[in-house]
Amino acid sequence: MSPPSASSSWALVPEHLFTEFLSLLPVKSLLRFKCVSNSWNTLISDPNFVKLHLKKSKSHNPQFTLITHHVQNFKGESEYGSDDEYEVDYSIIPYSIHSFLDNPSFTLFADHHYLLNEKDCSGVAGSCNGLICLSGFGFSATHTFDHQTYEYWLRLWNPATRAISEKFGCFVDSGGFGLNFGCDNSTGTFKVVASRYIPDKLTSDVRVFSFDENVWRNIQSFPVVPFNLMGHASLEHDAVFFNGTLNWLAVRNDIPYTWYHLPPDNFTVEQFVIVSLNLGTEIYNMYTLPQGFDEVPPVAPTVRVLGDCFCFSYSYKETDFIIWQMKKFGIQESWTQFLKISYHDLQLNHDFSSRTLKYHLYFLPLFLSKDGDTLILYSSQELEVILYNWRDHRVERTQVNVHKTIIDEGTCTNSCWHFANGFVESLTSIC
Amino acid sequence: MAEEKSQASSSKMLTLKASDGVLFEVELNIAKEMKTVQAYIDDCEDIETIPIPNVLGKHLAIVIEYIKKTNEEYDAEFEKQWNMDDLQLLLLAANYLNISGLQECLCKAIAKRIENKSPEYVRKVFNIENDHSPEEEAKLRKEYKWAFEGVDKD
Repeated sequence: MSPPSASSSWALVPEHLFTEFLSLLPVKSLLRFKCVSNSWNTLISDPNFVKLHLKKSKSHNPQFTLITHHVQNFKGESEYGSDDEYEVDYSIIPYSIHSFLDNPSFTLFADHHYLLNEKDCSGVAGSCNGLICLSGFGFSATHTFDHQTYEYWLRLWNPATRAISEKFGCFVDSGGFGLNFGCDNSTGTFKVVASRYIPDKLTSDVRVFSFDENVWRNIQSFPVVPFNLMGHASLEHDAVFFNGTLNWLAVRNDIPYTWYHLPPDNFTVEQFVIVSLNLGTEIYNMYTLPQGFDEVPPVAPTVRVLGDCFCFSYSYKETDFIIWQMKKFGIQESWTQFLKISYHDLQLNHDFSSRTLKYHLYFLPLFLSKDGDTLILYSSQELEVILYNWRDHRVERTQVNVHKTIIDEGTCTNSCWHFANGFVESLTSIC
Repeated sequence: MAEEKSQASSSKMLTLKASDGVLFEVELNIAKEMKTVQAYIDDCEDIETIPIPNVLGKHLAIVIEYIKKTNEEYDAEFEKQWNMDDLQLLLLAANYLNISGLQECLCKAIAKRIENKSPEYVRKVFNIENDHSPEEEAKLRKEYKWAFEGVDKD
């Protein structure tokens, strides 16, 4: 490529055009270009530029975070491996959805700065505007066998800029809290909701941490307690953030339960409901599920955001996987069946009549391609995710190998696709 | 009758005169993609020749071809033919003529060309003076050391 011309008249180009093409650059390039000049440094740090860049990033470069699990084996002295030790760690790695769809077989390197343990965190509360809210918990200072209390904390992390906050939002309580992160769309304030089920009182403890107030506040309990409330600040968070609300699946019942291996007895579809917490008003709404959802599925259904739509999906009999879209969020009449994918179409080679499989085969629709034609689908029976183009009925298998970049002897790494979530790269500051 | 009329208006030709005097005859619907030209037509209906004082004939030709052929495939190949100087002049043309699709295509192209370059290269291309103090620059380079890895050699 010929060297740039020294006589080029870029000075004639108005600033708004510079902003246009700069806002299309990846974060890494922009951080490097802060060195170019004072005015470029000022522009790149400007909150309006950051907002414009985020907007472009969302539409041009949707990403996801792949969570990988590392187990390092330390051989002990015993012949029988009884004193072998294991160190478990996780990485959270952003990756482009387009790149994945273009080339679904690749090797990913888990760079050091994606590791969770060294951040002293063990879970993810959620992600918003390019920021990931991490969570951690440990025995509190006053923890005893008889009085088990834990300390919970949060850390805000931008994997693209590599900035990470100190621990904040700390609280001490007996265990069982699940944490969920979101944003109040009307004010742009980030919030974290901590919740747990209290079996003794048949109710739930729900509290909110608002980033502008910097304190935890108790709010009303869930009107219907969500099933499978995730406890202990895990990588799997139970609520789905959408458009300023956090949403959980729940079942109206006298006693909440956990859906382990079999759907509870005496269950009807009418009992299912979506509990939605508006992060602005901190008020709950409840939404019913599509009319077409007429049979209790063998495995717990899920809610998820696909493309720009809030979706509800489940396994149907032993033959299909169905996804509904709530075209207009909050309007129950707007539920529209999006996809009905037959297992046969997915070219799965399993004996679906087997009882073991019936109650364990679990699908999770992860992401949609930009044009909406290709679905990235997780299946519990497959090691890797499946790409399904529903227009062409084309199935493509994937192969993602992950290695830690720092060579560890004997580390085994696996992808946890069921923890993968949508992500967008941004310059958003963690302050 | 109505059909004939619409046919007549869609095949109406307009003349665009570039800054160096080169004349281009284009169909009305092509010319309308340039919002600046559209505004000109709205103001003076009977106009037949529209002056485009800021754009050279060479670049106006490229712009007109772009409007005629634009689609995903064409756009992907389009930007590869031009060097940075051409891209700059085309960007100014697209901005003056107010053609959003072309502007977006060119911005993507420019971003792609500089994405993996060093700050020195960028300064040279855009003729920007480095007004950072050595301490400021050193501080930034240290803070974002990792952002300098894997950058194209100048």
